Amino acid sequence: MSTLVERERHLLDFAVASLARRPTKNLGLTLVYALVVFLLGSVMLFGSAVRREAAAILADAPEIVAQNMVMGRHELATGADLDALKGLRGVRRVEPRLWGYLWDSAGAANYTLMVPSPTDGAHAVAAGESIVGEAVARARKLTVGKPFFLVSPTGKFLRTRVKAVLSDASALVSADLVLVDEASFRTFFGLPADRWTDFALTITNPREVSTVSEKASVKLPGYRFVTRADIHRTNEALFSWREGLALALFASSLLAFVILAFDKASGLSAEERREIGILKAIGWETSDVLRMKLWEGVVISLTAFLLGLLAAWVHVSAFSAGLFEPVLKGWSTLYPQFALSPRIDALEIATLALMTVVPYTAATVVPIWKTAVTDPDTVMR
Amino acid sequence: MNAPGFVRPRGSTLFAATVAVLLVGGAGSIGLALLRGAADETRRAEGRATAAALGLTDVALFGEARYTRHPSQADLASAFQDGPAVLDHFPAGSLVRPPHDFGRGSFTTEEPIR
Amino acid sequence: MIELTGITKVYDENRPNRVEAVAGVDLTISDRAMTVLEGPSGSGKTTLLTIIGCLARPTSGRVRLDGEIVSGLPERFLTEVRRRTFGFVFQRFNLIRGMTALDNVMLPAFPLGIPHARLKERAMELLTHFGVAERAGLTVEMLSGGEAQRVAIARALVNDPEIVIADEPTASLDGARVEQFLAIAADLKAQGRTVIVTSHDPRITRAAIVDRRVAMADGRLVEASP
Repeated sequence: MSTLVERERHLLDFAVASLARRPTKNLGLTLVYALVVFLLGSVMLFGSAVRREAAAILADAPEIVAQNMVMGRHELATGADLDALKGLRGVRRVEPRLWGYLWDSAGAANYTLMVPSPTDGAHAVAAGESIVGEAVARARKLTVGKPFFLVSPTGKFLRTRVKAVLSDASALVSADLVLVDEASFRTFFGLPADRWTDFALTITNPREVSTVSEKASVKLPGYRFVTRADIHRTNEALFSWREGLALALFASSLLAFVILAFDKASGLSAEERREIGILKAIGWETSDVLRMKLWEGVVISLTAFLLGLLAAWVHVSAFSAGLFEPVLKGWSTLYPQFALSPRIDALEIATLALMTVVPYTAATVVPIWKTAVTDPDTVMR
Repeated sequence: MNAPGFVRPRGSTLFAATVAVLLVGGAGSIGLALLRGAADETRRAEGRATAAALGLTDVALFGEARYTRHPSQADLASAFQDGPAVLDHFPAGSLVRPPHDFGRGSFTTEEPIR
Repeated sequence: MIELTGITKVYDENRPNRVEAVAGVDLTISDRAMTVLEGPSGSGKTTLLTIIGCLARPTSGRVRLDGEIVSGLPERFLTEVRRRTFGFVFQRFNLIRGMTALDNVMLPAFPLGIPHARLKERAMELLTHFGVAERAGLTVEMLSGGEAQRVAIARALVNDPEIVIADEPTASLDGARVEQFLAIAADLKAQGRTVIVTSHDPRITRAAIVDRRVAMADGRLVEASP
């Protein structure tokens, strides 16, 4: 056993010495390789982290959202419909929601204007006050107490003073929010008194969501009912395929890298061929030569893999994958700043390792097979 | 060129040391993340409470759809909105079908199962 | 004892540049003696040497080592034989560039799994024996011709082989170094090893310590002096 270990250690010694003889080339190769791993790893870690955050933060969201539909498009809901839903069995609470989008040219972004529920004491706003999300505060450089003006498309003004800025903890869902009181909201958008954007339903027994949806759709056939599960699925799918798309793009760079490695390895210089001949002449078997070359491949790929993965981890946890923000967080001018805590998923790491270490090692060993097998004298001639 | 008396470490030792350093770095990062775990949980709980209090149903990130913030919304607020009949810029809609029971309870021509 | 029977070696058999380097050689090499293969360049002596040393396979014929046929062995076993029995000193030394003299000497034993400290000790012993111990930490590019040869010989001896083979050992050396080489050869003989050398240098072929001279020309033996 110790003979085996000592033998492999010696082969590894030679492999490292061999790599050290061309330090710039091999260091460069390792760094480029690490970069590829970094790209793939960042995307993978970000994808899984953001999916987890989204699922966690929306765990207590209303189970069903009911929306009025006219001619296949969203239409404002009426108070009468609200009463109809309130009577349904299994529905603990029906909350009418008032919210809408506003394009703000001053901040060059879309905000979501919203009226908090009367039962929500923590976010109560009086006339002339507003509570803004952290991204809005950043876009318009707002702090508590500062004045905040908005203009509607029809030219109506909304003057408020910032009462509070929503915390970073909820940034993922609240970053673009502007909370105002109901009266100001209705005046601003020109909404009549009995109109609401949609209704949020809280169900007593979460397992009854589909039953309640069905019953509700009978009561209000013109309405659409979007469940929390639907939205969760959408988020999962969204970030999964975004991750997949980014991975596919970066995977092509990985492929290019492996092809390069293969090309370099197959173009064995006369020097390298001579060396293999010498090794065989002094008593190394073909398997020894191949194993030594394998160690060379492992040294570079393992170092690059660990380095790239570590960098990816730091990139995602400390910098929230800032380099790829648009690709992964989507098209926007207003990105919520939220903390990400990546987690080690053994399967993910194993996949990444398989995708990077194996092709490179194969690419460096396979081409020298022919040389390693031939009789030493022919190689040295 | 080696200085006299300088014992160069074995290549295998150097490699093992490099891997060890990187693994320690990795373990350290994971350790930090675990330590942050409690703080993370508090943060998440706070976020969850805010989302629940405000009745928010989705994330403030662009969903690659013609709606920006909620599956029901479209038009003025959407990205790349050139005209009402323009196809989605993103090919996702043609690659992925909606799940079987998406939006269950929405208006259909079939009789709902009682 | 090494017995060669009907050895031929043909390169590029089915090509226009077909060359018969060795054509039907029968030869017996005795133990604990120094045998010299002499002849002009192109006579096939180097090729014959590589066949004797199990570096190459003959196209036809048999090589027997102490009665055992080795020429037909599969590669793995052949390497084992080569490693155990032979120590090869090449004409151009063939040391690995960029590696220290010490590492070069230890190289043949790397795949054997010998503990590193012991291997290093043995290598230093050999380098000391050949008077190049203080050059141990230098890379081979910094060695003089004579030093490089001694390192190459040390390398050939690290696995304690019975048979030491040297191909044109004095080709790139001056007079004093030739004497040195002959002294080493005598030393090896005294240790009970077999020494086989190819050379067209009369200082080697006419040396007193040579037990047997074998002349070659055009791939054939010309005469065998006892």
